[in-house]
Amino acid sequence: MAAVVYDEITTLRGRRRRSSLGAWVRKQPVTIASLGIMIVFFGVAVFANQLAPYGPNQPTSAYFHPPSPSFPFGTDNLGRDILSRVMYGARTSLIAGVLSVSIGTLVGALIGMLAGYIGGVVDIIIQRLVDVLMSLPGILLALVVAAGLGASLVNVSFAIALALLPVSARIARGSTLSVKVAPYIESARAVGASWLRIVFRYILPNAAAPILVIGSVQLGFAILAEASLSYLGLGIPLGTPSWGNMLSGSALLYIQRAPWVGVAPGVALTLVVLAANLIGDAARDSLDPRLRGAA
Amino acid sequence: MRRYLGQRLLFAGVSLLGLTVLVFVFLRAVPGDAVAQVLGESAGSSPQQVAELRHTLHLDDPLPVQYVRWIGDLLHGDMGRSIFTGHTVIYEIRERIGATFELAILALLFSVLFGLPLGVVSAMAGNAIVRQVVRITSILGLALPNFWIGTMVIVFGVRWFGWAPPTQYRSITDHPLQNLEQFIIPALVVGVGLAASLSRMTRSTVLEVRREDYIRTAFAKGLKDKSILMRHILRTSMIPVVTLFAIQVGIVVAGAVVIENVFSLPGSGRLILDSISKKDYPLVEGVILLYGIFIIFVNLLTDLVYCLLDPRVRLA
Repeated sequence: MAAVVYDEITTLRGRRRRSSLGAWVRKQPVTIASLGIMIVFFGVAVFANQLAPYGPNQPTSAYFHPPSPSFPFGTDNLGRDILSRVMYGARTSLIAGVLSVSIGTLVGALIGMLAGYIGGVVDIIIQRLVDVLMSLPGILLALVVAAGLGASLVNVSFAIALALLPVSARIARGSTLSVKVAPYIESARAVGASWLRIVFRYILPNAAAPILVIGSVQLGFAILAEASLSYLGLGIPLGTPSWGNMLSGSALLYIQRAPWVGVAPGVALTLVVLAANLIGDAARDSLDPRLRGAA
Repeated sequence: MRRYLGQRLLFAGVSLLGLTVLVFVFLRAVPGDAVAQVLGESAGSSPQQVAELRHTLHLDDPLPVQYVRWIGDLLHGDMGRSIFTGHTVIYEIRERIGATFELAILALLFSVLFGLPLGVVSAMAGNAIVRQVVRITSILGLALPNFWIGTMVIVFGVRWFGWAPPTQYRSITDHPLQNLEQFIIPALVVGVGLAASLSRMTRSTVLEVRREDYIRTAFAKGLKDKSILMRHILRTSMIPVVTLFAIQVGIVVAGAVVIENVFSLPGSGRLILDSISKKDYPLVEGVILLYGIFIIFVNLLTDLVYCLLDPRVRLA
């Protein structure tokens, strides 16, 4: 085992020196595969109108049709084609995921940087607000907020964003604190740069890498959270197909009779979240080893 | 140390107060209240009756007044009464919390049983393929939607094994065996994600410790692999793992809310969703607040344990 440790230490050092894209691709087959999966799902989401054989709520002639060449994933109790619904569901899931992660990390990064840069009372207040958001587990916080705002795609994304925000706020605050005292910030201030310029021109680039990493790590969680809320009936309303709500409501009454109704959305959901997590994990390992293990 | 403790306690109190505002504002932001549903059960209610009931429940007061009354009652240990059943919120929660607690304990048990060894293996295994397989398995565990696994277990359990989750709740005191049969599968489902996250976090702490100089020294001294692993690596790795417990508790609470609904277990998670759909505010607020208190308390406790285990934190 001793040899293994040293092998790893030397390969680690070697990897750092050699940073060409080709070497990275060869070393990361799993990450490349995950990127491929993500691209496919994004493609399906964008072109669902063209790709899906039926509309998301369009009844076909067959009810409870098991998977067959004409309906690869079967049809449900209203005769809707599951394949088409999974395709439109990709759109819902990815919009909710990307929207909530963008809002969550942007707002989180902004208030985190302000807290770190201004310091004092502002810092204390922002930190306590972040603490409040962290006093409930993410899904539960999103559940309460979504229940209050009502079921819709935008509301759910906002609710999830609120649950994601504390993590990027903390990280942005941390990296701001660490560069705030750097000589180049001081010289920027000395030549009379406004604090807005200092934050956006000098501090943001330093905080950007870890925040991007956190964003990619959070994408999987966000997609899963949307599906869970929709499953519980507090997320996307039933009229819009989502991988979560395809397993809730009336579908659940018939699931013993037609289990295929539930299989495809779950597999799609697992695949996308798995790919997102693998990409996030690789991003975390390669961009910032210090973040390893942060949730 | 005393100053640190005092500051932590103060922060915990502030978080709790903030949580009450957050929960209150978001839940009462929904238009409509429970009155129509309560009266709907006894048909033929006039607008006058509606107004009367709303008045008795104090739902016609301005929101700030309602909030202050709620907080005042809370400070006297009174969490209010359910609008529907008329029982106190404390009574309703006490009826339900046992099932959630049992689910959580079993799930945490599975998590430690599977997650810890997996994490150590994925950090220490000599074979790169083994490491990758374990890594992907645990990331897969995090990606599997628990509500979906639960549903699939119910559907295919019947088809393939003739197993269906018992429909009637058996309490652990009256029917210990049937109770365990009822809880073990849902706990396993919650445990998948938990074990996966624990193994991920164990992996990264073990990896970090393994790169320390003193581990290299231990190897150089010619110590046996096993003793390096047990005495030097694992012992040090377990310090950060203690703090992971706080994260685990959060995941298990969230998981329980979902899984209790999948398997129809009469726990507090189902209570939340039932009460949300009925707009039974006092009950939702009560359960959420209890979760919040519990999580803030666990965080406080892990901070303190960490501080005792690692003196550097105290000095920072």
